Amino acid sequence: MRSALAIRNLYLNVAGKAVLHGLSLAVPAGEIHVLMGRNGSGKSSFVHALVGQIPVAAGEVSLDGVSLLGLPPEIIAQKGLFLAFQTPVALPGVTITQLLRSALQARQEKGKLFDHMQFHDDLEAAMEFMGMDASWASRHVNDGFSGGERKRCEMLQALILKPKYVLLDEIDSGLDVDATRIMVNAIRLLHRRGTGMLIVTHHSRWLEVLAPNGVHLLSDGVIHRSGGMELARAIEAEGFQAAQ
Amino acid sequence: MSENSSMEEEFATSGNFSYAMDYAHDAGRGLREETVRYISKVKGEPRWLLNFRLRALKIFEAAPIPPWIPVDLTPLQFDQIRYYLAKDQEPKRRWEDVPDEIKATFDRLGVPENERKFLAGVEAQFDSEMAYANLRQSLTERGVIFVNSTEGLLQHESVFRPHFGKVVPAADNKFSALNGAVFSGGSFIYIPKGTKLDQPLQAYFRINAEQFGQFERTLIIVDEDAEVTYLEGCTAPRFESSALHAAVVELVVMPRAKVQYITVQNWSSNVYNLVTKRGIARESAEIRWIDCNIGSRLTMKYPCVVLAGTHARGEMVSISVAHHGQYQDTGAKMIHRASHTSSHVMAKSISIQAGVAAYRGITRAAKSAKNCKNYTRCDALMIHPESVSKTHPTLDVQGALSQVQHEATVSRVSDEQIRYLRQRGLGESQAMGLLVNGFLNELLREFPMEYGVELKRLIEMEMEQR
Repeated sequence: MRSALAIRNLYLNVAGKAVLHGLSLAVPAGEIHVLMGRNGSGKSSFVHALVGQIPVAAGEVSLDGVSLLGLPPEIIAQKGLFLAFQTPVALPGVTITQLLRSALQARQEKGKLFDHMQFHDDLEAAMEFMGMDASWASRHVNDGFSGGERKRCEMLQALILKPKYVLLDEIDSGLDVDATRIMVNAIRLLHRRGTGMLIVTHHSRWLEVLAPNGVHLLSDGVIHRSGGMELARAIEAEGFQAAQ
Repeated sequence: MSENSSMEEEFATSGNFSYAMDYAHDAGRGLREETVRYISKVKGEPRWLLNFRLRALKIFEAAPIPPWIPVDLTPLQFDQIRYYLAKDQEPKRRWEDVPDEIKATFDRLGVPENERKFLAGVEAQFDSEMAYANLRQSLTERGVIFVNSTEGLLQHESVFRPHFGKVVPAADNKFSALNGAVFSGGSFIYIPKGTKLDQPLQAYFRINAEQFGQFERTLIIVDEDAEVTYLEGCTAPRFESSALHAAVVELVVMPRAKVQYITVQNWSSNVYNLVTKRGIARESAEIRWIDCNIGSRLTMKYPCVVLAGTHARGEMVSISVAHHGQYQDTGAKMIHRASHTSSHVMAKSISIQAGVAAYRGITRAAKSAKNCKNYTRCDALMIHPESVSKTHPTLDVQGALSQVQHEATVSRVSDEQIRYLRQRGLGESQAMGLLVNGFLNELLREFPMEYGVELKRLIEMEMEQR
């Protein structure tokens, strides 16, 4: 059996309000899946719950058959779930290089030497791919970044940390045409590497080039409907009500 | 284990180890006139120096403990402290001649290794006296003097006596008076005209004995157009009872000369560290204090630059880390006595749990001093809700056309930042360490590379223990 991110019968409460009521979803390894839904339907809460940042009330989340529930967020991250935040926080004084080096060192086996040369080569190549010049390496993470720069920085981190799954929380919002193209190329590169992805978005147009394996509509705390790109097109053309 | 990681581990143990010692000279507990006479006699000092000590003792006894000291000093028990303990009077010039227990201590602190790697000269003080001192032969031949305070006053009286006790007089404050009465050890340095040392001189100060007071006195004279960097490191083991460190440092920096004085203070958490440091900068001279305070129960230290010559420049780079139970009361004094002088203060402090970090500073420009410039910036980072940060700036500008700026920021590590870093795979304490190092990065770069790397690692380890 191929590895998979599997969510079964998930219940989630946020600030005393029930957000998810038994949501189930599977994202097989290497596939791209899309999650759509109205504002406030719980998409962001859902992906934050997957990475252990919001406690779940009931249900199961597993990666490669191993339960992730109750694990500290850093362990879930080290096991291979990466969340590209919708609004990533600034870390004044902490450079992109320092963040990525620390994150890689945290994943490294004890007693193994960190390969600094390889790290710098990988970082340089990933920055070039993301259209970032060399000065980015010493920029402080998200400090004074524009919205588009923050999102590029998130994808850069995903490229370097090489997780099994990337959860993209509205990574396309507020991007201009060129930035969207860079983002699409990064997603394609991750896909070629065999990274599984769950993309939370409101827009279907940029998904056409990604050819996702599945599109899912979150409504009333469950996956109300699943399909292919035709579902995404229907949502964009007719709205959520009609798509249901 | 690599050599480097071994060194880092030793550094990170905060020097918390000690050896049983057989002291040849012990002034006993408590401070009386006999104590002072004993120290002076053991050292074979001239009459004028004994008189200096006795006068200082009277000032100490008459002076009240300053009411603004933020921590109760009762645990210090002045009458129980041992004011002078020494195994030998003369420092050894060869490492192999140093007594085994002392050698083992400084070996563990990396002294001989650092000397080989990047130092022009080293002194290592063990309790009251220097146990080891060495200066490269080439520098001795160029007229550089690097000796301990006793040797300085006995063998180079004409060089040091005119400046001794002039920059920081015994009457300056209660603890400088105490130092004047019982001082022992510390470095006396003279850098001749035009001599620029491209490698630093270093002193290590080590408290080994329990309920002990260390009172070293350092005097550095940098002659015209000369330059020197001096590093000092301090460690002590953790005992049940408290210890006292009351040092005095005097810098005399002649026209166009430069001195950089770097301190890494990592005393154990029951040491009261009450230090007076001051330098006089003559015309176009430059004094830079670079100070990192991580250890001690209480540190009160406000390095001062008296800008006495036109176009003189003073700088202070200060890092303070206050853990639970610690009070770091640090800062800087910039006294502009001459026109066209400038000063710059960069201070960053971190308070962890209920630790208290305070910036206390004075910028003063005399009426006769025109066109002086000062820029002071204090940034404080509070890690926990119960952490405390305080700022006590004093600006006193009498002269015309002077510009004085004081900026201060206080920030907290946010839950959102920690959550973000945990999502990247860092544990909570690693995340905290990264954010703290990020906060300090700009100032850590001011330390020599060897120290900067060790400091970063030390701070990370301190955060990981929380």
